[in-house]
Amino acid sequence: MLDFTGYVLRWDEGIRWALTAGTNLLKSIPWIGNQLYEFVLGGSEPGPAALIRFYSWHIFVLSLTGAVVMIWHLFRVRRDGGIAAAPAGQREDSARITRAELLRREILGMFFGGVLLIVFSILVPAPIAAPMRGATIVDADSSAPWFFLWVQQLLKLGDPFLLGILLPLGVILFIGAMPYLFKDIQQTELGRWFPRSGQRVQLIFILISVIIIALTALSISQ
Amino acid sequence: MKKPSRRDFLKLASNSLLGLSGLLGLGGLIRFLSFDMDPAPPSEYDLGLATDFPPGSRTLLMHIPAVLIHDNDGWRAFSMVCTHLGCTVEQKDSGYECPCHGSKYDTAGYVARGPSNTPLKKLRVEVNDAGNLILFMN
Repeated sequence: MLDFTGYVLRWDEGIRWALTAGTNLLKSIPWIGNQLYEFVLGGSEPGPAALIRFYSWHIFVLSLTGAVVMIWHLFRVRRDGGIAAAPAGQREDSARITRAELLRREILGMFFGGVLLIVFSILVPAPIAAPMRGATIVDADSSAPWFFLWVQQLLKLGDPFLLGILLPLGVILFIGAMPYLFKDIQQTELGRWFPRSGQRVQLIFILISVIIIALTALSISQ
Repeated sequence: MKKPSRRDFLKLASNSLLGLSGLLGLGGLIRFLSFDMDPAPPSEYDLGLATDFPPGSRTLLMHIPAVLIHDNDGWRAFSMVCTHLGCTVEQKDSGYECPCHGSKYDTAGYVARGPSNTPLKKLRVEVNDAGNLILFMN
């Protein structure tokens, strides 16, 4: 959502079909689709009201929610002594990561992440096309944003609601729910990369990733 | 009256600021929900003199977007908005094709290949008293 609302803010010909198809997907939701569409766009078709709305969702509602969740995440990492760790008695090193060490790692991560993004944005110019003005189409790009190419490929197969909303939402929810659904990992193996007891989860995750990557590649090649 | 401690003062100040920003956010949310809709697109278009579209012509009206056909049966028109997810179809040799998800329609606007399963929307065309063609969107 944060990616899509940010992508739309370009408001150029490059986003015309992504915005049209993405918002028309809402209409395919039974019962509430049309009302939801008008609520999201602020009109019966994409226009200035839609741009303001996507701007507010992107910089206010979604960013604020993201910030709250991120703060909670960092707090839990600190409190739990890492992303995942075995109970104190079963760990080889019972010491928790210190606050200073955690802060050092996070700042380093932010620094290198920031430098990487700045270098990338300097070397690869942003693909901004001609501004979108009304219904006149100027060489619009029909590709979905890169993170939704797999959904665009799915949509070529048929029903928008099933393939464009239910299935992607189901996949995302399933990935989020995996730690709660598969409790295979043994306590002694917590906090380790690719534990043996978690092979079933790893296999399912790899399978989902391969399908998404394959759909994305297929979409790019067409 | 007891002088408030530094801790109490800071607590009151931070709670007040939080409450105020919450109220401001709530105000924004109420304004957001009670929005004025953008005006709806026109429900009819004046295409100009009917004689500008001679028999046998097939005209793409990209600003609408629609196709206007003048053949032996008279005037016909259909929308160029794909019935799958709303992208504008492009004219090809065999008919029309949607650039977004690849739906194909024949020259009469009927589905030739999915994912779309509904023909392009037919539009009503009338000639008014002044001899102008009027295209109705609904």
